[in-house]
Amino acid sequence: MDIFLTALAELFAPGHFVYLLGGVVLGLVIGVIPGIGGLFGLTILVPLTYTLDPIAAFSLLLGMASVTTTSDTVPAVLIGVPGTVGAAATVLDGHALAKKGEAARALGAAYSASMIGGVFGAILLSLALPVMRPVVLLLNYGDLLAITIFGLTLVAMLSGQDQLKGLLAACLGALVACAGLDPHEGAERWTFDLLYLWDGVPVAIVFLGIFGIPELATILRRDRVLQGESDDHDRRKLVQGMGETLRNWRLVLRSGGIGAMLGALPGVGVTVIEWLAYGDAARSRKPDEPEFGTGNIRGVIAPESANNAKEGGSLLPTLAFGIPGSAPMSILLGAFALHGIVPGPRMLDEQAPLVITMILTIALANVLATGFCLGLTPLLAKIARVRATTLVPLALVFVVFGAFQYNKDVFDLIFLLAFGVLGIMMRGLGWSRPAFALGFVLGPNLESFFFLSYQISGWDWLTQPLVVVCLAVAASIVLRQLLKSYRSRSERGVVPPKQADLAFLVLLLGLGVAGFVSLVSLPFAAKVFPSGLAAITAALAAALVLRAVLRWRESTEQSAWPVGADLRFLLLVIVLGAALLSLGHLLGPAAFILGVGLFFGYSPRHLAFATLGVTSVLWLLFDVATPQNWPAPLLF
Amino acid sequence: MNFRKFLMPLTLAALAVAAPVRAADTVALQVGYGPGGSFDIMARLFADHLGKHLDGNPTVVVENVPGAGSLKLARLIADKGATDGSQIGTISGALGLMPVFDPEGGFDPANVRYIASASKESSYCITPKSSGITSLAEFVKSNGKAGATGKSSSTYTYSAAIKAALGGTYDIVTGFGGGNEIDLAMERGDIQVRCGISLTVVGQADMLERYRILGEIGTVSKGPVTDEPFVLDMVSDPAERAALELVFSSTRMHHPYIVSKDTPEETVMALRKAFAETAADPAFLADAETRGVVVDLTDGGEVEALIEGFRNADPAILQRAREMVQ
Repeated sequence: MDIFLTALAELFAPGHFVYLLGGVVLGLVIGVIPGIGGLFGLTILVPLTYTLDPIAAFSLLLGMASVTTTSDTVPAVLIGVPGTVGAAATVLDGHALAKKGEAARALGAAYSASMIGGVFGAILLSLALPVMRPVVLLLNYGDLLAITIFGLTLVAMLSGQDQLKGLLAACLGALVACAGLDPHEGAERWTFDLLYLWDGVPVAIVFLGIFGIPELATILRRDRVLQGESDDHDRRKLVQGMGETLRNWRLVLRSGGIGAMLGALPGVGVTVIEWLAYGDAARSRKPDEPEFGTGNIRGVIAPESANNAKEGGSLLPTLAFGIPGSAPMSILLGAFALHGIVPGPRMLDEQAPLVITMILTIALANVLATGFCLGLTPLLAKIARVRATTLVPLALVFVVFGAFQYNKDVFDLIFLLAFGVLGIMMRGLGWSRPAFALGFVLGPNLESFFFLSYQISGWDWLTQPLVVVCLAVAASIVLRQLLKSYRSRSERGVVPPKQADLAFLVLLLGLGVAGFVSLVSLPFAAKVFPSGLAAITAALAAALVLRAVLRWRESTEQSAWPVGADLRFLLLVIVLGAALLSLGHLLGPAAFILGVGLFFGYSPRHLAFATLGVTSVLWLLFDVATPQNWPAPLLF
Repeated sequence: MNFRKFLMPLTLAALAVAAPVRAADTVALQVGYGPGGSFDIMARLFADHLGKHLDGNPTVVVENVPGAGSLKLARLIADKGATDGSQIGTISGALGLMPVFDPEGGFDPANVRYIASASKESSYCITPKSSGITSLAEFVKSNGKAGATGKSSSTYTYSAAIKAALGGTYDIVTGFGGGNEIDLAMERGDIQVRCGISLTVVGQADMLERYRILGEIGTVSKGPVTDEPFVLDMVSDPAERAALELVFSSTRMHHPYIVSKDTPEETVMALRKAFAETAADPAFLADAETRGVVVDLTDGGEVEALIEGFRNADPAILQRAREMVQ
């Protein structure tokens, strides 16, 4: 208790608290901007901490890193663009709620879930500290593999009405994740002789393309996020959302537990966590709730709680082993060394006050961030009522810029566009994008965990208790879902446009076959996993083509897909990309906003504000705060 | 607010200011690995001090370009690196041996210029004390497991070469996500040994209390840290020893910094001089000590000569070295 009070007093000392506040504010700003996340923030901040004392330094660093996942909800809910890769799952239900005029409710639920999740993660961290080492050491690659397989069965929950299409979408996601050098032989798989693809397509670019681009296209078509009049009772809705989080406290703690536990296991990867929490919540949907993906508040609460809790979790192995649970944590580990702090088992005795201070920092940062966000929400919720012709170009600049700053390579833009097209097609044709995302994040884990556990213990991992439990639960889920879909097979609702859907299926069939054939000459270990996937993809696509042909004559209602509007939006993305490349990273976006503003007839004042505002934010963040070597514009 | 009088000129002024903010006055120090690792830490250390030893005192920024154990960055710089000294890359030292081990591997060190190598420390094989293994000789003849990341990484090449040279019977588990994951698997007892870890890392935290150093990997011994043998000395056959020495020689050019081959000679020289001055700068040295980084600079010219030497080695020894890391 003494240690606890000392730590608390240290944290609230004016010289330290200021840094915590500063870190939290910066973390919130970074979270809102698509494409960058906590890692970006840490690379800015670590050099600034060289001269600080350890408590001030870690107040700043942890304050920042703990809260990017609170504010990344804002763009996710309001404009359907994930603020960090950790918010992609929040987009599904959060943005659906915003479209119904419930943005404030979704945000209220999200922030409070983030806070409780974050604080719960921190508490779990402090309780687990003494037993952490044995627990982490107990779980081996076989267990991780079983957890991954269990995670994959959640695809069934995220597939919407059509299970087979959901499965195919997941296979496609996993196939995309296989592109790049394989982890064993270093053989090139589907890299098309592009160095860019050696490390695969960046996760953030895939998510921005799959989720962000289609949503922005929809907003532009609909004129604003929120259609029709709303009653403008944002404060009341905010409180309603918070109340819903509290009522769903079991879900909050359960998702927080998933986040903290998986965050503590090095190698699982942070992008996996929120999707598992989301799928887990979807699994327990009650019959009277809305479908997940159509605006179910529990679909907002679960991933938000999990992704704030994981920060606490991933600090665990960093402290207890000196083994970082995530990339931001490896930067933090470097910062430990700078400040003469020695992570490892002894840290818990020798540096106990500092450890407690860090845990408190995480908890306090979460509370502060939620306070800030709640205070700002009535203002932010109005974004849903801003005209799309203003909102979409501005948001698009940040999405495209966020993608481009990854490698500053033209392929950043090309792949953003390509995945944007894929996202638009999947949305238009009623394919599950969450299933794709789950396949994409879990695919690489499945491959690498399988090979590692096989090399270490052959097939013995199959007899481990946790593996048996995980696989049994997974099998029962799949069986139940199969039965359910068999029973409800006669109730088919609206189907997507038939011709386009068939064309897409044929494309996937071709992709599966071509993928399989192209891998034939690779070493066995490099090709076995992607070849298997390609074969399953081709088989599923063939089955669906057959089904589509057999059902061709059935007269069912077809959903509309406004292809023209989507194509016009893609043109806008191309124009912005071209401006960015030809005029440079500041002038390009500025010229784009000017041009778009003139085209849509902004008022002169509005035009000047938009152009200046966007340019100065980009300049402050990407030139002043983080000087970077931007490629020279093509035109001069 | 009057638009014509005030905002429009301001907008144009902002655009005019924005336009020239370009690459010209920054130097990018690109790291072939992700943030947080030893290459990243070393590059960030240099980035903080290199600028003041370069003409015009440019801002030096660190960029991470991870991929294929830094082979991606090496290829990027060889193929289309900037030739004005504004793009410097730090890559695996082992890539300097690529023509020897994997001529088809896609990178030839002759296609870049070496500015410097920042370290020539030995590498080590370690095992957790809990594994019960007391010596390298004991492990080599056991049916234990050594951990490695990819097959082109030093964690694999060192383990494979030691196994070949000493007639080992152990297995090598590949595919770990990074050195940290290998360490965790050792703690768990899934595997027993990791070869290819630097003293900077071994010296961190309380690792020396929990781990036993089994052997020193290098071409010249730095003297034992504990009581571990120098691995080369465990091989008596001269040809075998020469081949193993070739595999280990990447330790002599650890943390190399490279630029495009088409960089003018005077720019290469200026960069080499700037690195040498930085490494002797008292502020830099003090900073290195705070961050726990050991810097032992070798001039780029020397590194290039070293690589040329490998290429001209006895073909039989080259062949044997190649077999060792298969």
